[in-house]
Amino acid sequence: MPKGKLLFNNTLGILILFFFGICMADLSEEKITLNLNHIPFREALNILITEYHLPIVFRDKQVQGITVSVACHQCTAEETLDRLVEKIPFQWKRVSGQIVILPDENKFSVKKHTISGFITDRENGENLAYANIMDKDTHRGVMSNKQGFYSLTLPDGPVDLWITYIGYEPVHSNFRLKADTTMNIELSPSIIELNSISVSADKEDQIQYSTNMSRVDIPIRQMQAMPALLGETDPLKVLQTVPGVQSGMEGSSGLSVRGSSPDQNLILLDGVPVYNAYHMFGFISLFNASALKNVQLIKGGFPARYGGRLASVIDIQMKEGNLKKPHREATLGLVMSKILLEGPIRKDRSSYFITLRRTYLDWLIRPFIPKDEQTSYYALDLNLKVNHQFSGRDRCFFSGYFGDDMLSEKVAETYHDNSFIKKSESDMNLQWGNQTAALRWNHLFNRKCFSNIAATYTAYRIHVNTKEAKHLVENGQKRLDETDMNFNSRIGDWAAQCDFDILPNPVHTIRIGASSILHAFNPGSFHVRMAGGLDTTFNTKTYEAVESAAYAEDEIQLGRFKFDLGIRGMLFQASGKDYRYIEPRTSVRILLNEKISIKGSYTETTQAIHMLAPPGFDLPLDFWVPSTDEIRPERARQIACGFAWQWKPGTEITLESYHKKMRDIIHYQEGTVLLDARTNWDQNHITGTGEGYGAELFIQKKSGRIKGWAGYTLSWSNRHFEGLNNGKTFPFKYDRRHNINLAVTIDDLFPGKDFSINWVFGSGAPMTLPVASYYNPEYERSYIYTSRNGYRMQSYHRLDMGFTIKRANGKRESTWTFSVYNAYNRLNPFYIYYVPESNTFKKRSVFPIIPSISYTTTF
Amino acid sequence: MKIYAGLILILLFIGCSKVIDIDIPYEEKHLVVFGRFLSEGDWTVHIGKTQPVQETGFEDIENARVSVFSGDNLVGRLSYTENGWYAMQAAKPAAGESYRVCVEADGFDPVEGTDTLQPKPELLAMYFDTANAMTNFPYFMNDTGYPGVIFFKDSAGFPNFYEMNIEYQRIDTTEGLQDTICSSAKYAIEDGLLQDNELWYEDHHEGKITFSDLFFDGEEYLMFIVLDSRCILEGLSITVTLSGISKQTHEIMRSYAIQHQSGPFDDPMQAGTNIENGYGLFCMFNPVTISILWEE
Repeated sequence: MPKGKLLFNNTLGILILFFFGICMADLSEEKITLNLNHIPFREALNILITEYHLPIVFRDKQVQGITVSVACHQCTAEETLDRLVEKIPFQWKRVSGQIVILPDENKFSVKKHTISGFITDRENGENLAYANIMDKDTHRGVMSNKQGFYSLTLPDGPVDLWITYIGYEPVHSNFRLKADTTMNIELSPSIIELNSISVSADKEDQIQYSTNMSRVDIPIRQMQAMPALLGETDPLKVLQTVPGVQSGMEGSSGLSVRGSSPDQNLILLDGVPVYNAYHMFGFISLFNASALKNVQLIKGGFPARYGGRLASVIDIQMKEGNLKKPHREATLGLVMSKILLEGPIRKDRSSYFITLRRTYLDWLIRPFIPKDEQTSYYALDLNLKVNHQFSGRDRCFFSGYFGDDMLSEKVAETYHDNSFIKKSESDMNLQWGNQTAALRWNHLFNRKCFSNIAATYTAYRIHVNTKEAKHLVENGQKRLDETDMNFNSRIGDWAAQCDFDILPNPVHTIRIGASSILHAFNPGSFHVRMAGGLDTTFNTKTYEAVESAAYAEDEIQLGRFKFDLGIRGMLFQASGKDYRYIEPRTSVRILLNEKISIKGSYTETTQAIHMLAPPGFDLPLDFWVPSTDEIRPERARQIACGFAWQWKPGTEITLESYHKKMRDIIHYQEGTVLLDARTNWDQNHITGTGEGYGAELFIQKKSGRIKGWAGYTLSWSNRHFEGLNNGKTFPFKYDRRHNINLAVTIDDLFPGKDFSINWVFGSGAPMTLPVASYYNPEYERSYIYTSRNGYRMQSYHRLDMGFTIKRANGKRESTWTFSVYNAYNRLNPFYIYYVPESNTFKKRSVFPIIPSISYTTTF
Repeated sequence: MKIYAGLILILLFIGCSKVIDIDIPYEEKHLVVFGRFLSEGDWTVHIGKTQPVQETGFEDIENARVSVFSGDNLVGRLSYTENGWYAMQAAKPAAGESYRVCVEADGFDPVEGTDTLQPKPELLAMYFDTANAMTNFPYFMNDTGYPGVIFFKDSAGFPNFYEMNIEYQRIDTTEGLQDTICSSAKYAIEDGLLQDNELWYEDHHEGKITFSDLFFDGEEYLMFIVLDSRCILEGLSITVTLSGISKQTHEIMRSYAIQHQSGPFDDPMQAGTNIENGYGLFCMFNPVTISILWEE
C-alpha cells in the first residue's frame, strides 16, 4: 500500500474515533460490565466505544495483533481501562476529555519473572517432550523441549497457567507471579479422552500457532492401536501412511519422503543416527514400539539443529524407565515375541528400561525346508536405558540399542564325474545389524538456559561368512579341501554434541549447538583362506571422515508473525578434501485469525555420506561411503508453503505444497554388478539431479474416542543422470502420482474393546519392462526395454483392521490384539517380471490376507 | 545367489505369483544389423528386425540391400546367403579407417552404422605350465586348472580396447573331452587388476572377453589365465585370438553381456547399439592369433 494512503487511512481512523468519542464524552460515567476472553485489543476498545460510549482514541496500527482478556462487573471506566491494559504494554491517558491509548514500552521492563521446570508423566515419571505451557491471560506460551524442560517468562501479576499434552489430563494453575518460580508439573494420562477435552478449549497446542510445518506427530499409544503386519506395531510403517511418504516395496518399512530415497532420511534413536533401520529384509523396522516415547517426522522446514541428510528427520525417543514403580510386560506374537522390564533403581531419582525382541521365523519355516538344506533366519534386538537425576539441575542418561539379523544356509551336494566324485558341504551366514549407544547429560544452568551434552556411538555392519568343505575322490585318491571366505562391511561413528536452549523472553527462543562426528568406513573387505595355504585379505582400504557442524536458531514471536530463523554451518573433511557449506533454515507463520495461519519455509540441506545399495532388489547389503574428491556431497533445497487450520477442537487440517531440488545425488552406472559395486564404488557411480514436488492434504483428529487421520498426496519425483536413460529425465522408483491414506482408531467401541482400520491407496509404481526383442547372433536374444521406469504397475490398495481386547485383573492387565493385514486379500504387485521360457509376464505378490494375533500381559 | 535364495524362500512362504497380461504396445519395427568385419576374411552381416517381446520366433530380412562405404566411396555390396546372413569378400582396410554399413529394406527406415578399424595388437607369446596343475581353484568343478600367461604389447598414447577369444580344437575326438563343458573355451582370468576394474565375462568365463588397456597403457602385459583341466587333453590345439576393437564396440558388447546375465531382481540394462534408426552392432576387428599344441 502506498505510504500516503496508509497515512491517510490511519489519520482518518483517528479522526473518526475522535469525533465519535467527543459525541459520546458525556456518557462515560456509565457502569461497565464486561467478560472478554482473549479477543483482539481493538475489538475490546470498539466495544467500549460503541456500547459504553467511551471517548477512546487509538492508533489502529499500534494495537494490531494484541489480544486481551478482561472481566469487569459494574466497573467504572477507569477501572475497566486499568484492567484492560493490565497485562499488555499499553497505558491510557485523559487528554482534553479524550481517552488516549498509548504504547508503554517500559511497563513490564522491571516486572518479569520466569516460571521453569520439567513436565513429567505422573504414573512413571517420564519426561514429556513437546508439552504445552501457556498463560491463558496473556496468551503467551512455550513448548517443553525433548527433555521435558520448559521456561516461560511472564509479567508480574496473576497467571492462569495451563499445561496440556495430547493423551493427558490438562493441569490448570492460578497464582500470582511475584518472583522466578520453579514448577515441575506432573500430568496424568487420560483414561478416556473426552470428545471436547479441555485441551481443546485452549490454543497452546494448536497447529496454526506454531511455525512448524511439514511435521507429523503421532502418539505412540495411537500407533500401537493401529493394525500391524504380523501383529508387530512398526512406527515406520505407521509413518508410511501420512501424506508425503511413500513406502516403496510392499511390506517394506523404507520411507521415501517427498521424492527422496530412504537413505536420505536422518533416523535418530535417542539422538543417535541409525544407518539401517530394518529387520527381516526391510519388512519390519528395528524400532520396538513398546520401547518408544515419541516419534516425530519432519518432512520439510527442518530446524537448524538437524543436519547431515537431505530428505527428512525421524526423531525417535526411547522411554526412560518408570521412576515410580516396577513394570513388566511380555508380548507373544505370531512371528515375534518381546519382553519389557522397567522400574526405579532409586525411586524418583533413577530408573532402568530394557526390552528384548526375537523373531522365530526360523522355527516356523523349518518343517518346510528339505533335510539336506538348512535355511534359518532370525532377528534379535535389545533396547536399554538407565537414567539418574543427580539434582534438580542435572540428569544423566545412558541408552543403547543392539540388534542383529542372521540368515544362514547349509547345503550338502554330491557331484559325480567320470574321473572324480565330489561331496561338498557349504555353510553360509549373512549377519547384519546396528549398535547405538548414547551417554547424555542434561544440565540446567539457570531458569533460561538448558543444556544437553552427549557422546554417542553408532555402527552398522554386514558380515558374510562362507565355509565350504569338499570331499574329493579323484582317480581313487581322497582329498579334503576347505575354503573359508569372509566379507565385512561397516560404518561406525563416534560423535560429541552439545545443544543449548536459551529462553530469554517469550519473544525469543534461541537454540545453539555444535557437533562433531568421526566416521569410519569400511565399504567391504574380503578374507579368503584355502587349504592349499592361501590366506589373504584384500580390499582392506578404509576411510575416515570428520563431519562438524554448528547451528543457531531463534524462534521469534512478533504479533501475528512468528519466525524460526536458523542457520547451520557444516564442514566435512575426508581424503584430504574439505567441503564447507552454510545452510539457511527459515520458517515463518502468519496468523490470519484465531483458527487459520499460513506458513512457509525454505531450507537447504547437505548429505556428505552416501549409501550405495546394490542395483535392483532392496537387500540389506547397502553400504556407506564418504564424499571424496570425485564424489561431492549431495545437496537439496526445499521450499514449502501452506496453511494450517484448526477446524474443530482437536481436529487439524493442513494443506502444503512443496518443491525440492537435489543435486550431486549418486547412482550406480548402468550395468554395475554387485561385486563391482563393492570393490570399485568410487568409479562405478554417476552423479545427477533429482526433483520432487507436489501437494499434501492432511486432516488429523487428535483427541476424542475416535481418532485418526486422512491424507491425500499429489506428487511427482524425477531423476536425471547423463549416463542413464539416454540422458533423459525419468520417474524415480518411488514416484507415485496419487496417494490416499485413511487411519481411524475407535477407543472403547465396546467396553474394553478398541477397533482400528487403515486403508491405503497408491497409484502404480514405476518399473522398467522389456517391450521388444531381436535376434542377436552372440546371445540369441536381446531386449529393448521401456524407458527407465517407463511402465506403471497396477495401483496399490489395502485395508488393514485391528481389534484389541483389554482386560484388567487386579494389578495385571492383559491385551489381546487381533490384526488382519490386507483384509480383502488384494494381490498387489510386488514386482513384475518377464519369463522368456513361457513367454509370459508374471506378477509376484507378497502378503495376501494375513491374520495375526498377539497377547500382551503385564506382571 | 544364496542370499537371494534365502530371501526368495521367505517370500515363497508368504507370497504368490500370478501370470498376468500386460499391455505394452510396441508397434514400431526397426531393422537390426549385426555386422562383424574382420580385417581379413569374409565380411558378414545379419539382418533382422525388432518384434514385440511376447512374439515368438525371429524373422530374418532376406531382401535387404546392404552396402559398405569407406567415407563416400562404395566399397561393395553384400549378397544374401541364408538365414538372414549377407556376405562379401573383405576389402583391405587399414587401421584407423572408418567403414559404414548401410541397410535398406522394404517397409523399414534405412539404417546405418559406422566403426573404425583399430590397430592390430602385438601378441608376443603364450605359455602354459602343462606339468603342474593348480589346485583349489574355485571356479572349476574339480578345482584344478593349468596356469599360463598370454603376453602382448599395448600401443601407447590412446585408449585401446581388446576382445580375446580362446578356442580349443580337438585333434583326437575319440574320448575324454566333454563337449557340454568345453565347447567354448573354458578358462579364468587370474588378473586381479582386470577382474576388479575392466573385464566383463560370462558365467564361468566361457567365450569371449573384452577389456581396455586402462591399467597397462603402452606397456608389455602378461595376462595370467587358468585353463580348466577337464578341457585339456594331450594333442589339443589351443588358439588365442586377440583383436583390437573400438571403444563403442567394447561398450555395446558389455551391455549385451550384462543384459544376458541379469536376473529378475537386477536393474535392467538397455542393450547398446551403434546402428542409427535401428538396433544391433556393426564392428570391425583387427585380430592376431597364436596357437599351441598341448603336450605333457
